[in-house]
Amino acid sequence: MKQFTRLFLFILALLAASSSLAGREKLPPWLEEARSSAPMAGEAEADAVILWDSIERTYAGRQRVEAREQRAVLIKARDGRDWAIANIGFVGRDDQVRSFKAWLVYPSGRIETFTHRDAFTVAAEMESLYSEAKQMVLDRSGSVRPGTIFAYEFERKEKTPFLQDLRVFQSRIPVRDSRFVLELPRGWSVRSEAVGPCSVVEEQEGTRWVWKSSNLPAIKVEPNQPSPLSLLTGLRLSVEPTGKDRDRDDYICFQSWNDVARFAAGAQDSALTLTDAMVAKARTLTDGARSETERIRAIAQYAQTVNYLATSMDLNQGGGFKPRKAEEVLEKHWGDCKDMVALTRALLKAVGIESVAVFATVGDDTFVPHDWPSPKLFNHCIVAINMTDPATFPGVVEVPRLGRMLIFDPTQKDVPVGELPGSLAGGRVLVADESVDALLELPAARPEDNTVIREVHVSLDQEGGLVGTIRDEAVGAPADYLRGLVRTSSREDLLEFVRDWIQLRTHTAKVVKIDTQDIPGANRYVWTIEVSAPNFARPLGDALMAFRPVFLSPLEWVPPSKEPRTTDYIVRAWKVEESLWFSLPPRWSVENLPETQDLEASFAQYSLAGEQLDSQVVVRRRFESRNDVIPPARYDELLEGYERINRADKSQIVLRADRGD
Amino acid sequence: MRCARSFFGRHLKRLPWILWVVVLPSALDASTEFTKGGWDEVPEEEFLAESPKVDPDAHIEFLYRGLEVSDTGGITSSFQTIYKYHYRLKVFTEAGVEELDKIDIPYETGWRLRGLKARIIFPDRTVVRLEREDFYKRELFEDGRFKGYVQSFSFPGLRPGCIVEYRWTAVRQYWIPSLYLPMLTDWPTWDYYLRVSPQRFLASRIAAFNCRYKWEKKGGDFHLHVKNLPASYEGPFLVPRKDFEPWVHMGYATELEDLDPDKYWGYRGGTLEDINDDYVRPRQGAVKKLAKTLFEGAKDREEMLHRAYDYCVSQIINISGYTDFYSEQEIEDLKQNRSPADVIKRGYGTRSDINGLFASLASVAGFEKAYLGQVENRSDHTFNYDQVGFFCLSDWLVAVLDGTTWRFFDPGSTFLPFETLNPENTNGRVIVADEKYYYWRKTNPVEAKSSNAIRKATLQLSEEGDLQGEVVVSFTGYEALWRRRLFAEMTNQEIEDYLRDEDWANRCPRAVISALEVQGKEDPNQKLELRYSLEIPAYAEFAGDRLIFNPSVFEKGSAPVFKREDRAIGVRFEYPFREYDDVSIGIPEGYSLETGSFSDVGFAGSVLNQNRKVEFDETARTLRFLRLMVLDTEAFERMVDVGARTLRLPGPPYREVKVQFDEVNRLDAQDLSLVRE
Repeated sequence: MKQFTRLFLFILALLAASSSLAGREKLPPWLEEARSSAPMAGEAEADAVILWDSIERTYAGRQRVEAREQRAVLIKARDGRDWAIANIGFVGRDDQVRSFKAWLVYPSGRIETFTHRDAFTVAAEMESLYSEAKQMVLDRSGSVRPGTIFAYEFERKEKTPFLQDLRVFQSRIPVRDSRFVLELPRGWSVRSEAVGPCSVVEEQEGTRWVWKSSNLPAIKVEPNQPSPLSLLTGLRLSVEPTGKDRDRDDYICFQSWNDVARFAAGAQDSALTLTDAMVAKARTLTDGARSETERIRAIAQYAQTVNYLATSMDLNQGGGFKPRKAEEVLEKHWGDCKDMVALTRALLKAVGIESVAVFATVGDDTFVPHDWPSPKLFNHCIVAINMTDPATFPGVVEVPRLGRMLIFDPTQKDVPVGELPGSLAGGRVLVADESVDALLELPAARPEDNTVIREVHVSLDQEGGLVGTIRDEAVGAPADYLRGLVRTSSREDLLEFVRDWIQLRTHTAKVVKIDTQDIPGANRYVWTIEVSAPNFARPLGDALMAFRPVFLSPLEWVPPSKEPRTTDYIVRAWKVEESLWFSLPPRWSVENLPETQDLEASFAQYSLAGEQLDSQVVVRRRFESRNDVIPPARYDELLEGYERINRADKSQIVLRADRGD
Repeated sequence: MRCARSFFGRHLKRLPWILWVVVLPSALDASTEFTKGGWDEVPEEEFLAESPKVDPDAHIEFLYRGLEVSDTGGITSSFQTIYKYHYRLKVFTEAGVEELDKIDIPYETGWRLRGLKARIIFPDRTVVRLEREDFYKRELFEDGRFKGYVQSFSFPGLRPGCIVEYRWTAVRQYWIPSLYLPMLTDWPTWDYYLRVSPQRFLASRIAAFNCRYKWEKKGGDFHLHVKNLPASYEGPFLVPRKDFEPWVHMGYATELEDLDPDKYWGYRGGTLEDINDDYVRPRQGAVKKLAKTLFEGAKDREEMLHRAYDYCVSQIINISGYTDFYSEQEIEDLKQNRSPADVIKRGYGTRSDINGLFASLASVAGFEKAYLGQVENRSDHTFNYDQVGFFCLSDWLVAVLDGTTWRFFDPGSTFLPFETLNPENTNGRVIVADEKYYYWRKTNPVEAKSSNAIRKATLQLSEEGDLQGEVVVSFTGYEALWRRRLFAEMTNQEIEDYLRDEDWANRCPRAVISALEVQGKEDPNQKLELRYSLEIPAYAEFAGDRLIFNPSVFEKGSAPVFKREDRAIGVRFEYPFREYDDVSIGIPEGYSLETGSFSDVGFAGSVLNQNRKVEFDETARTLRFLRLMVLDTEAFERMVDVGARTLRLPGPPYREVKVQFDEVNRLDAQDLSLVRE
C-alpha cells in the first residue's frame, strides 16, 4: 500500500511538472524584441503604447497576395484596455485570415495564449442587405491590467487585381516601432511616397522593400480637426508588375487619375443596358417635359425614390465599383449609390441625355490627395449630367473637356434636383470619363447656401408666459434637413421634436400648430410654429422678470480651451439671421436691453442689438460663420470669438412692473 | 385564402377521382392574382385603408400578424418546436418606407428556417412576388460553438400605400419547457392570430394575460384571435410590461394537477427543497470548520450572522459580477462549485453559490431555519398567485428564521449591505420551503431616508459670470448601489466622462469637471463619495447691471421628467429617495443679492415634495442654496394598490404624478439676480 501511495505521488508530481512546463509559453522572437524595446518620449501620459506594428506583404503573382501582420500593445492604464482588442477585417473567399495567434503577457511574466478558437467573427456592414465583409474579433479588454502586453499575429491570403496600399504608421497612441515590408516578384517595381509629420526610412534589398518609422507621437483627437488621413504619418504605395504579368493576370494599375477614371467608367458603364422597359420608363417619366432641364428633373426625381440598400460583393475584385444592372435596379427599385447612379444614367441615356458617374468621399474622413491616384480614396458614387440648357443651378459645374454638368446625388432624397448636397460641397471628386486626368473640386458651400432666416413674434403675459409664432425660413442644407425631418416624421414625432427644441431654453413649451411650406425651386423650406411657453420669463421677485431673447438655437458650445490645440480647426460656412419681436405685458417696461455686440473676425461675423419700439422689444441677431482653417497658432483668436458670441447669446432682458399708477 | 385553403382541405379530398379532372382546373382558375403562390386573399378593407386604423399616428400597421407554435416533436427523441410566422403590413408614410426598407429574419445554431416567401402589393393592386434570388442569407456571428445567421430581403418599389406580406417557418431543434410570447410589437396590429399546439404527452397550461380575449380550444390546440392591438408602449418609468401589456405564457409540468395554482406552488416548493439540498449544506465538514473559526468569540448568533455575511461578500470572489481578481479567461476556466465546501475551498462562487454558503453558515450559527427562497422581481412582474410559471418569483434570496421572524439576505448580489435586498425585491412576495411545508412571506418596503443623494458644492462666481469650485456628492442606499455597480468596471477617467456626459453636458454644455476622486466605490457599508472640481464658464447671464443665475446648480437646465401630456399607463419608480443639495456660491465683488429676487416657496405633493431656501451672508459675500427633495414611493405603492384593487389601473395615474414633477421642475429652474452695488 505504501508503495502504491509513493507511485501515486510520483505520478502526481510528474503531472504537476508537465503542466507547469506547458504553462510556460514561449513567445515569438518579434514579441520578445518588442517587449524589450526602449520607451519613447511622451509615453508617460499615454494609456497604451504600440510597441510593434508590422505588415509584411508578398505579392506572389497571379493576383495572389500573402501577408503577415503583427502587433504588440502595452496597456499602461486601465483606460487603455480597449487596445487589447484585435479587430481584423476581411472580405469573403478572396481574403482569408489564417494562423491567428494572440498573447497576453502579464506584468508578472505569466502568459496566456489564444487562437482563432477564442475569437469570434461578426458580419460588418449590418445595415446592408448583404455584405461579404466580416471582422474577426478577439476581445481581451476585460483581462488586461496595467503593464500587460496584448499581442497578436496572423497571416492573410488575398486574391486581388489591385496593387495599391495605404499604410498608416501613426496612431491615437504612441508607436515605438512600425514597419511595412513589401516583397515583389522579380522585375516588379514600386512607387512610394511617405506622408505626414514623422520620418519614414526606406530600405531595399533585391526584391524586398522595408519602410520603418519609429517613436511616433500620438495624434490627439480634437473637435473639428482635418481628416486623420491628412494628419498621420503614413505611406502610399503603388506596385507596378511586369507588362507580361500585368497582361496575363489582369492586374489593374493606376499611374494617373486618368487610369482611375477609365477603370471607374468601365465598371459603371457595363451596367447601362438599355432594355425596352428602361426606354418605356424613361419616356413615361419625361412625357410632357418641355425642356432638357425638365427631362433631367423628372428622371432624377424618380431616381430619388429608389430605396437605398446596399449589397457588397466581390469587394477584393473591385465589386465596390460595379453597380447592379440598371434594368435590375429599375425592376427591384432598391440599390446603393452606384446602383442608383446606373439607373439614373440609363434612364437619361434612353432620352438622349449623356451623363457620367462621379466618385466622391463622404463621411468623417474626406481627404483625397491630388498626388495619389487611387480608387481606394472614394466611398460614394454620384452622377454628373450633361447640361446643354442654359439654365443655371447651384449644382451645375464646369468639368474640363466635358462642359457644363449638373452634379446630382440620387441617394439624397431631400435635396432638390439642381442643388449641390452639403455633404459634397467643397469635396474633391473624380469624374469617371476617359477624358479626365485630374480631380474636380466642387464648390464649397457659402454662408448663404446654409442659412436660417428666423422671425419670431411673441407676446409676454404678466406671469412671464409666452405666446406667438416662430417662422424659420431655411435655405440650402438646413432646408434639406427640415424637408427630411418632416418627410420621415409622424405628426406626433414632429411635434415632440419641435417642442423639445423650443423648451431647451424656455423650460416648458407647447406646440400648438406647425405649418410647413416647401419651395424646392429655391431650395427653401419654411415652417411656422405656433407656440406657447408658460414659464418663459423668470420672475426675479414681484417687480422684475427676465428672459433670454436668443432662446432658439443660441451658440451654446465653445471649443475646448483646457489643453493646447495641436491640429488645425476647420470652420464651416453657415448663417443665421434673426428678428425677435416681444410684445410686453401691460404695465411692464424695459429695465434693460442686451448690450449691443459687433464682432468681425476672419472666421465669423456676429451682431446683436435690441431696441424698444412702443410696447415691443425687438432684438436683431446675425451670425455668419465662414469657411476657414484656423491653425493652432490662431486658436486663441477663435476661442475668444466664440466666447464672446456665447456670452452675448446668453444676455437677458429685464422687465420691471410699473406700479406708478 | 385561409378560408379557401381549409375548404379545399376539408372537401376536395372527398371528391370522386373523376371529378378532379373537372374541379381542379376550375379551382385553379378561381385563384386570383392575390392568392397565387398559396397566399391568402387580401380583404378589401385593407386595400381601401388610406390611413392607420389602430393608431392614427402610426407609420406602419400590421394588417394581419399570425404565429403558430407547434411543440409536436417526440419526447424521447428529436425534440423540436415549429414556429410559423405570417405577417401582412401596410405602409402609410415615407417614414414607414424607411423603417421597412429591409427585413431581417435572424436565427441561430439549433434553428432551421424554411418556406420563406414574400410579396408586395402596390396601391394599383399589382403584385410582385419575391424570388429565391431576392433572399440573401449571411452569417452574422460565429464563435466556434455558436453561429448566428440572417436572411434579409427588401420589397421592390416599396412606397406609402403598399401592402407587404411575408411568412416563414422556423424550426427549433430542441424543446422548451415554457414559452413567453409578448403580443405587442413596434407597430399596431389589426388582426392578431396565435395558435399554440403544446406537446400532447405532457400536461400544459396556457394563459393570456392583460387581455380580455378568450382562448378557443380545438383538439389539443389553443387558438387566440385578437383585433386592434396597439404598438408596444414606450415611456419613462413604466410599470412592468408584464403587468399591462398582453402576453401569453405556456408552461409544462409532468403532472396535470401541478398546473392548478395551489398545486403549482406546492410543486415550486418541492423544487426549492431540491435546490436547498444542493446549495445549503450546514453539515459539511468544511462549513463546520469555517464556522468554528469564523464564529470564534462571537457574543451571540446575530454577530455570527454578521461575520458570515462579511465573509461571504469579502472573502469569496463573486464571479457573477465584475471582478478584477480573475481575468475573463480565468473565469471561463474556473471549475464549477458543487457544494458550499467547494466555495470555501476555491474562494470564488456564483451568486447562488454565495447565497448557499451564507444560508449554510446561518444555519450553523443556530438560526431556526436558513434556506434559499425565491422572491418577486417587481420591475419585471407584479406577483399574482393565479399566474403560475417560473416568471413569477424569478429572483433568489436567503431567508433566515430568527425566532418567529423571517429575515432576508442576498450576499450573492454585488454591493448589497447586510440584510438589504435589491430594490426590485423589496416589498415583494417570497416563497420559502423546508422539508414539509412551503411558506409565503413578504420582504420589507424601503423608506426614502435610506437612499440619499447629498450634493454639496463650494463655488465662486466671477465678475464675468464664470462659476468655479469644488463638488462633493455622496450617495447612500440604492442611490449608491446602482452607481457602485455601474462604476465597478470603470476607471476614474471613465467615471469622470460619465459624470460629464450624464450629469452635466445636457444641462450645462460648457461644464468642465476634473480631478475626480472616488471613495467608497467598493465597500457597500460606506457612502459612495465623488469629489471633483467644477468649472462652468458663462454660468451667470448678464442683464445690464445684473448677473442672473440659477443657484440650483445640480438641477439647472434639467428637462421635464414626463413629456407627454397624458398616458394610459401608470408610473413606477424603483425605490424612494431623498436629494439634499447644499450649494455655497461666493459672489463677485461689487455685487449683492437683489432683494426679493428669489422665492423660498417649496412644493408638497402626494408623492414628491421639495423645500428650498437661499441664505445670503453679506460679510462672507456668500450665497447658500439649500434644497431637499423627497420622492415617496410608499405613496406610489398605495396608489398602485388602490389602482389594482379598484380601478384596475396599472400603476398610479400618470397625470397626477406628472403635475407634481412639472412643479418641482419649474422650481428647479428658478433664477435669482445679483445687482451691481
